[in-house]
Amino acid sequence: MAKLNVSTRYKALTRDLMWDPKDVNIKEIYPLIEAEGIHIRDPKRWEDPFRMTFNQYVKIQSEKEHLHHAIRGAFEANHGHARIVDSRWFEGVKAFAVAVQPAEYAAHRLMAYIGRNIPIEAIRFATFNQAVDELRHAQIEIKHYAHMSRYYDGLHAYSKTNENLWFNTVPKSFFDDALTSGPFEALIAISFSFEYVFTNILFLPFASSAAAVGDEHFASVGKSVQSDESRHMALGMAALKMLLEEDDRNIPIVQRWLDKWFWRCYRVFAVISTLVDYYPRIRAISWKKAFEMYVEDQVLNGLFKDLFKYGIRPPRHFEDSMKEKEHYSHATMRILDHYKHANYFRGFRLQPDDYDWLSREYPNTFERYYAPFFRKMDDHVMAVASPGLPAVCAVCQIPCEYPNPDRPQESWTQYVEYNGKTHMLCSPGCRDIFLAEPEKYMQWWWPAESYLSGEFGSSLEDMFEYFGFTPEEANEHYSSRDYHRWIRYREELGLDKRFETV
Amino acid sequence: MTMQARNLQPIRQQPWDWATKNEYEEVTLREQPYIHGHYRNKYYKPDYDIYDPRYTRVRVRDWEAFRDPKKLWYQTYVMTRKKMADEVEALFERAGKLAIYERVDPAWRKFSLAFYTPLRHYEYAGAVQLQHVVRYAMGCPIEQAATYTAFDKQGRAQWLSTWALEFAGGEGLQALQHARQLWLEDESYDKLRSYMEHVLVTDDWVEVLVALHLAIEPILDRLAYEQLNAISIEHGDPVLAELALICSEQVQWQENWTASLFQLIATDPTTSRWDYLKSLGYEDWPGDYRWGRTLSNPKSTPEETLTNQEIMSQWASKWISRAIQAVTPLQSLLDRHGISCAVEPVMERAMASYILPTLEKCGIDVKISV
Repeated sequence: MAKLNVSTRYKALTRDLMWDPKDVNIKEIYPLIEAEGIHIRDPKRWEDPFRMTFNQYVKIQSEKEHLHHAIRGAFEANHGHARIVDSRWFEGVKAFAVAVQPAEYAAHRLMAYIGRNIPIEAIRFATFNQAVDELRHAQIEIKHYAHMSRYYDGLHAYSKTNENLWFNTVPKSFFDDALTSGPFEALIAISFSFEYVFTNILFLPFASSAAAVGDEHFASVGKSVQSDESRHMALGMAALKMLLEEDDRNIPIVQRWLDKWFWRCYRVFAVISTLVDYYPRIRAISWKKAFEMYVEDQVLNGLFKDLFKYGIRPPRHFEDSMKEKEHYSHATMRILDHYKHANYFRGFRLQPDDYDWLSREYPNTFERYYAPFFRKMDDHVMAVASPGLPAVCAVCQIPCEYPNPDRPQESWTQYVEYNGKTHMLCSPGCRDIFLAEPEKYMQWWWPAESYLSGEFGSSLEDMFEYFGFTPEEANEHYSSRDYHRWIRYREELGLDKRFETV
Repeated sequence: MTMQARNLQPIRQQPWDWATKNEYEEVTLREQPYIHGHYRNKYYKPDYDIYDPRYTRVRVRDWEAFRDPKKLWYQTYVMTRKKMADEVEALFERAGKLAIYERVDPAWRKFSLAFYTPLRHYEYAGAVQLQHVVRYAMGCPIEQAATYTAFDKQGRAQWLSTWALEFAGGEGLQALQHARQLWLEDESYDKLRSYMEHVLVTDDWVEVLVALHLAIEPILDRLAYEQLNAISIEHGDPVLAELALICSEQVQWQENWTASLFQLIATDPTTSRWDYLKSLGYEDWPGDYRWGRTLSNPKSTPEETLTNQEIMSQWASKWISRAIQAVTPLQSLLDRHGISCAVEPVMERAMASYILPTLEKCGIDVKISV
């Protein structure tokens, strides 16, 4: 037979499979298609961003799974966890475990929602591949934590932690926000803003740090996951351009979503900045440099210049994110240290090499504004713990403890009156998101209010039971039982020995 | 290796506080959060929570109790499907080298293109509506199985398309076009197409599973992927029969897991749709403190008055009757091409060998009206 070329063949396999219904109203099949004001004229002309058939998908993915799980098997069999350079790294991995892993799962459900509700076949096959990918990410991450949980604290009830802990409301509310949006907004939120703008900075520095500190399993998780993200990023770009080119009336709507989701994504990555700058004892890169490389150069100065021709301007408050890059990880680590007695991953006392590295990488800010805070822990690791409950931002749900990057001695917290109540927001970025959809954000679930209303029981033990961990699993790493266990594991393996060569 | 690390004891034997017996359970149980969703849907069912038991009418004491009999999780899913994909590609390659398509009986050639090619639309529509199930079903154990089933259907839609492209030789694209026209305009397909359209507007996710896996698929898939195999070989076409064997391996799995889900639902006597909270350890949960203040209280939604069996009986009666009506007209397509195969006995066998025994295990009576 005359062979079709790859593109024609791919189209033949994946297009024209849906039809205009004859016995039901098409609006009943796609009830959300007009809800958001998006106009689609001729979606047929859109190309699939990443041509991959079912056969190709399962073949490539099974090869990746095979490689990854072989690395995992070797790591587990040889007690790789005891061989990393410093066990405090696992506190960062725990943050990833209980915050990022449930987010992958939420993205799985979300991509199915988008694919079901947007009747564009070019987009749909890509979203469905992604829905399956996200389940992959959730599960290969879980396999890592399942093994860790046999040796370390804090992970054994991660689902409960995700449901009930204050820290988890940050990533959870982010994905809940997208899951409750219309399908087009969800597509821009996750495929473009999250995947295209931010996943490089999520996976690349952390995977490099994992390799640097000797966590080969996590390095493989990061690389293997990121190898799928390139497809997701291509989808995000294709989706954005399609909406912009389909109809001019879409442009202001898309701009509004870009404004909202840029800042929403930026804030949900706050803790990532500490996983880049603080938790690894050997760092691959600083948050500041990673932000300059992956977000400023590639996205704000690169991509958004290209989008100018559509009438799209850079997202609102992007200047704030650039100004904050010299403060972000330090201010966020300070928040984690304030509340480390009620968190499943621990803070830690900074070591001399940490002070050196942070001062060198952040010459303008670290010594001047933040080092004095961390030095307070030299005498007692809980010296900086905050009693009481934090006031958290009504949008991103991070405690409102960010400094104004223009005047770092001042708080950046914003106050808004709505519906007879004062709402606190961590920054002008979150304030404007609140003001655009106040009826949505007043629905947020605030754990402190649940605690005060008695939902978590009457005692601290009851509360920790709800959180899914015990007070011994919290606090500071180098004074923790996890650290002492890790030392013992190393002794068992003979890793504490030093061999002299003469 | 055995001498080292003998004292390196884990601090717990099980990774999670909830019991898990194998890798599948480790990566599947408690994946979906059940409480403390932050916002309500902006457009679709704006009073409902993100994961809400009210997306279906049936009540289940423990949504996490469902197990896929094949225990598929991502790794085992893609590995088993890779094997199938390799088999399908090798099959087409051998068929081309042996020039089998040229020796196929002309009547069968015309019939098979007219019958199997339009089924790509049927498989695809099922995949689309299963994505609704993936979003709204309760718990990862159930929606994970639905995810892989939907992906299988996309796969079968593509396998059928590939087969048509190869089989029709230089006229592959026209064959797909022609099949689409048959699907949309031919009387033999009218009821089937209409059935799938009604599946696409079915809101209750358990009802979607009933409509697909307890009604149309047990009947049509048996015809397409089992009954016609021998006839295909008789007409000099072993390729389609072999492809059908691979497809039926997927189809058997989708029947097995949905049958065990239907049984779990039908035999559950729970009367309150909120009972599942007990199974999660949230029996003392007073409900979300916002309920009744900024948000409507979900528990003020009236409970169902029918039992699960009664609800499922209504669904099964409705969809099985329609499925029989949808498949019956395919007889005219067979007749038109001179293929001697009677559809009615196939439907009767599907009823006797699968549908009725499954209903019986569920304790469900159906009234079939055709």
